[in-house]
Amino acid sequence: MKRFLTAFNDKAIKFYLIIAFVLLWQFAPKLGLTNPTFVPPFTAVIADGAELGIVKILVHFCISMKRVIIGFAVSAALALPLGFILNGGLPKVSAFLRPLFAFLQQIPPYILYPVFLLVFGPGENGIYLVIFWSVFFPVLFTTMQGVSEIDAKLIRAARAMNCGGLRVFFKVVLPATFPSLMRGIRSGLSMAFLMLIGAESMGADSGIGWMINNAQKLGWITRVYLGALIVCVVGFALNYGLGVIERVFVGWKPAAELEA
Amino acid sequence: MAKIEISNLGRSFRKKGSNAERFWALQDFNLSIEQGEFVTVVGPSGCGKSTLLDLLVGLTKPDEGSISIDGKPIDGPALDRGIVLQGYALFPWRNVRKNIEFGLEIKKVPKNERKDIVDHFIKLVDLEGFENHFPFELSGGMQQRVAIARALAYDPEVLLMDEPFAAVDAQTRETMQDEILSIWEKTNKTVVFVTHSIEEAVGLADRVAVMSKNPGKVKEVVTVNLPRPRRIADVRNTTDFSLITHHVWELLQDKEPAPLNLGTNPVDVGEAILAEAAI
Repeated sequence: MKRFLTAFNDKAIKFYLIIAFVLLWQFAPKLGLTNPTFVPPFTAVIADGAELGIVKILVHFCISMKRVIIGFAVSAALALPLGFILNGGLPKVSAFLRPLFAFLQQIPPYILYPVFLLVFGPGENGIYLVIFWSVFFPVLFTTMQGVSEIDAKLIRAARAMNCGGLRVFFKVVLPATFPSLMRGIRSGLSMAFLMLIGAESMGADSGIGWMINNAQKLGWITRVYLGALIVCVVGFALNYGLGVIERVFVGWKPAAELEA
Repeated sequence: MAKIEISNLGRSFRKKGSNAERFWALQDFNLSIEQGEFVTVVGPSGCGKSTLLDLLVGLTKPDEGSISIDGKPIDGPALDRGIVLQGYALFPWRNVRKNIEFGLEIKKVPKNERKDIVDHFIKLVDLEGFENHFPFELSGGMQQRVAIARALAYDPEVLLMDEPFAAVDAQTRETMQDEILSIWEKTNKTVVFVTHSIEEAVGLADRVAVMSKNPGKVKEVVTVNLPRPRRIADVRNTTDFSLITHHVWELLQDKEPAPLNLGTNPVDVGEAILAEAAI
């Protein structure tokens, strides 16, 4: 029994604080610790979600995810090969472009949204560009770093075994940089999701970000909390899913080297 | 004809901060190695041992002279030579089996044949039961055995070893030396083994090529007439072993030793003891 409880405790320890947080959220307004108008209890937020209906929530969710996935896919499809080409084969071009990229990376993407709006007109394009921007640099830089961190001995060993050209890339460079790629994709994707909420609240007529922004304008505080809750759950799930993928493919690394 | 023929080999590199001046890592390097011979190359650090190995592997090309195997000049890497690098250089994302398989994949050996070959070499280096372990889960000695198996798996005629035991502890090192000797006796490969340890060079070799540096060349090739099959522990305390190691040591110290004439030389007992102390 005692052993069972210990094992249970080890597994459940991750959730204790979340449970405590939800309980506090639920009871603080009821006990008069906070104003229920500004902090509606947890169950009120859930009830509001039920009222909105799962279908409508899913529609907003899908619209948001479509934006993230398309923007992310295009961005990663450009940033990954570029990272390999720049650091793998063109060190001079890499040195030439790096400062500009490092400079551009510092611009918070959603600040650019009004500019994108002016240049590309209203509509989805601006949102896609914000996502593109927020994914591009983390993925590019982690890829470049991963390529430059490859153990030269491994390349030497492969070449000594008559493995050259593209085969070195697929058999050594790609698997060796895979952990860095995963790290870049993870941070790019979480960044994209954060920026999406910002961009959607600036100029969209659908999506979770729009939902939050719209509720805010109407003074519908419970709905704002509902939107925030959905953002949290989705962001958490995304990150968790990528973590699982990473552990499956990077099982060859000592556990301590993997991020939790 | 010798298996490996190296004649007047020279390899230079550009000196740092100078375009015209060149630094000769190897110059007038001559060595010929017979089929099935175990030759060790010993020399001070910076004498061009690694450059020599790169040339043998085919990763760089000579500036002067020639280097050939079976009469054919070496032109790039090929699977007739296997290499075991310092620090193992195992692919960390491949398990033991997959690491050993690497050269076979390059050689395009069919999958079903690969399995039997890999099984054979896993057995040869005594790693049964560890097939599915990743390198980080293995001790240094085990990683080294995987590296040796990987180099042997695609059946090269020549095995090149670059200070393979430099990173393992003394105990493991001796076990590994005995293992490489027994593998060599079983497979009859030609071995070129680079080391900076005199004792290791003499203990393993048929002949020891002693190098000097600036530029790197062969100072003397010392024949080791210790009995075969050999175990390091059996020969280490013999007088001949001491005399040879002492001779190599003197060569490396830039002294001009008397010619080595084992068995017939009246042994100076004091010097023999000194030689053992030097080890």
